[in-house]
Amino acid sequence: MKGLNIHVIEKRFDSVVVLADIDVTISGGEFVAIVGPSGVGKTTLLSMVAGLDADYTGAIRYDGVPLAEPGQSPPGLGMVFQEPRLMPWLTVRDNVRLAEAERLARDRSYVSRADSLLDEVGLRTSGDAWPSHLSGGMQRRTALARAFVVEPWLLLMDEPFVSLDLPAANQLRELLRRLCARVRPLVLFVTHNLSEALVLADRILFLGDTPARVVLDYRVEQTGSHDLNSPEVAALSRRLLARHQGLLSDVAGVDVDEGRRGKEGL
Amino acid sequence: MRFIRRRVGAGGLPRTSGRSEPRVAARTGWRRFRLPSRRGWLWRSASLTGLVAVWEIAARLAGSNMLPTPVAVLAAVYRYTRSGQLPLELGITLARVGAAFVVAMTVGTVIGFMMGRSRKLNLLLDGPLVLALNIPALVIIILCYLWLGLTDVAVIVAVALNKIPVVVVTTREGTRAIDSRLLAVAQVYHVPRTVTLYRVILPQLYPYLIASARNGLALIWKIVLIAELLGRSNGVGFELSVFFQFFDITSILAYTLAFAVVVMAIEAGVMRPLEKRLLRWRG
Repeated sequence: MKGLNIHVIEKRFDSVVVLADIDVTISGGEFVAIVGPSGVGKTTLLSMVAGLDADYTGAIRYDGVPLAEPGQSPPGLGMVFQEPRLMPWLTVRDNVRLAEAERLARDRSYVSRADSLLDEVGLRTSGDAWPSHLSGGMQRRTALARAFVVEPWLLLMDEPFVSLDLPAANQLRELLRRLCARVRPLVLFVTHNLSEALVLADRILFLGDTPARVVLDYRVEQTGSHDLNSPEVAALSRRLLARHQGLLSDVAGVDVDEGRRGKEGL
Repeated sequence: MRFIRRRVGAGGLPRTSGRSEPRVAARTGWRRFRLPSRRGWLWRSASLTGLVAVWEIAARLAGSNMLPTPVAVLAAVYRYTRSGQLPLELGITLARVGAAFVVAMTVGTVIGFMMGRSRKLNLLLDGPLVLALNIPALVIIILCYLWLGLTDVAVIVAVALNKIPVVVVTTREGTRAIDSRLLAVAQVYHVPRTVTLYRVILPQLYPYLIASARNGLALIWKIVLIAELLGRSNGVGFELSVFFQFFDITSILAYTLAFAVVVMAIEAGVMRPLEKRLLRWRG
C-alpha cells in the first residue's frame, strides 16, 4: 500500500472507546486537514501518528512499513503543538537548534540552518531573545521554524493558530503555505475551524460519531481564495454542509458561522 | 515613563500617592529594578552597623569577660590569622564541608530524580526516606564514628547522610514538576538523551537544585562543626571545643565571626551568581 496508512481498530481511554474503525491512506505531499468537534479525538489521533501515544490497536504504516519503532517518533517528523511549547530557558535560536540536535550530533559536516529558518519566518533579529519576550505570534513563528528546520517529510499540526487574533493567524497561515510549498511535507492539520481547513487543505477528513471515525473524506475544490472570510469560502462551506447535512450535523455547523463573523475558533 | 507605564499596566492599579509605591512594586514583580540600587546597600549596612553598635554598648555595660567588645573580637581574629592558626583550621573545616556537600548533592539528586521518575522506586524508598529525615544528626555522627572510626571519612559520610534525605525530597518534588509536554517535544525531534538531559530536563530542576544547595551549605557547615567537636583533633569545631574548656569567649566569637564571613562570601560570590546565571531566562 502506497503512502501513509492510518489504521486504528480501537483506541480507548480506560473503558471509553474514543476512536474506532479508522482506515485512511494519505499520499506523500498531501495537505490533509482533520476536522471535528472538540473532544472528538483529533489530538489523540495526532499523538498516535507522532508516536507519543502507542496504547491502541491497529497500525500506522508508510508504504506498508511501520512508521516508527515502538515507543519512538517517526524519523523526519515535524510537529507544531497547540501551544508553542518552546523551552523558556533557551534562546529562540537554541530552541530551533534543539530540533537539529540529533542531526548535529550524527553528521559532523551538517551546518545548522536555524538562522536561515529564523530569517524565513521573519525572526532574523530575535535569535538571541528569550521566548518569554516574544509575542504569541512570534512564539508560534519560532515553533514553525523549529518544525521546518528538520525539513520534515511528515508534519503534524494541532490547532497551531488558535488564540491568535485574525491578522496574526492569517499571516501565519500564509507563512505555513510558503514553507510547505518549499519543503512539500505530508501535512496532518488538526482544526475545528472548517473555513481554515478549506483554505489550507487539499483534503479534509471529518471526524465524528462516538466512538469517532471518519464520517466524510472530502477533497477540497480549490477556491483560489486564501481569505477565511471570503464569499467563496463561505459559499463552499455552506454547500458542503448542505450536501452532507446528516453526516456533519455534529461536526462543524458552528464553525461556519464563526468564520463569517471573522472569529478564530474557540 | 517606561516604569510608570509598566507599573500601571502590570499591576492593573491606578497610580496613587508615592507612599504606596513599594507595595505596588513588590506585587508586580519589578522589585528587581530596585534591588541592586544604592539604597539597598544602605539598608544592609545600616542593619549591620546597628548590630555592632548594640553589641558594643551591651559589652560595655556588661563589662566582663562573658561578652567581649567587637574590637576585642576583631583583634583576636587578627591575631589568629597572623599566627596562621585560623586560616589552617578554617581550611580544614571548609574542605570537609566541601566534600560532604558534593557527596550529598550528587547522591541526593540522583536518588531524588529516580524516585520522582519511578513510582515503584518511590514506594520502595519513601519509608526509609521519612525515617532518615527524622534521625537526629547527632545519632548519625556517633554511629559513623563508631563504625568507621574517628576519621575524616566518617565525618564526611555522617554529614552527607544528614543532608541527603533533604536533597532527595527537594529533587523529587522538582522531578515530579517536570513538564511532560516539553519532553514530548524532545521525543518528536529525536533529541539525543544527553542533550535532553541538559537542555530540557535539568533546566526545569535548577530552581530546586539551587534551593537545596543553598539550604545544604547552611545545614552542612553547622553539622560539620558538631562532628569535629565530637571526634576530630582539628578544624573549627575542635578549636571551639578547646576554647569552651578554657572559657575563652573572645576566641569562640572570633572563630565564629571568621567562619560566618567566609560562608557569607561563598553565598554571595558563588551561590548567587550561579543562580543568576542559571535562571537568567526568567529576567
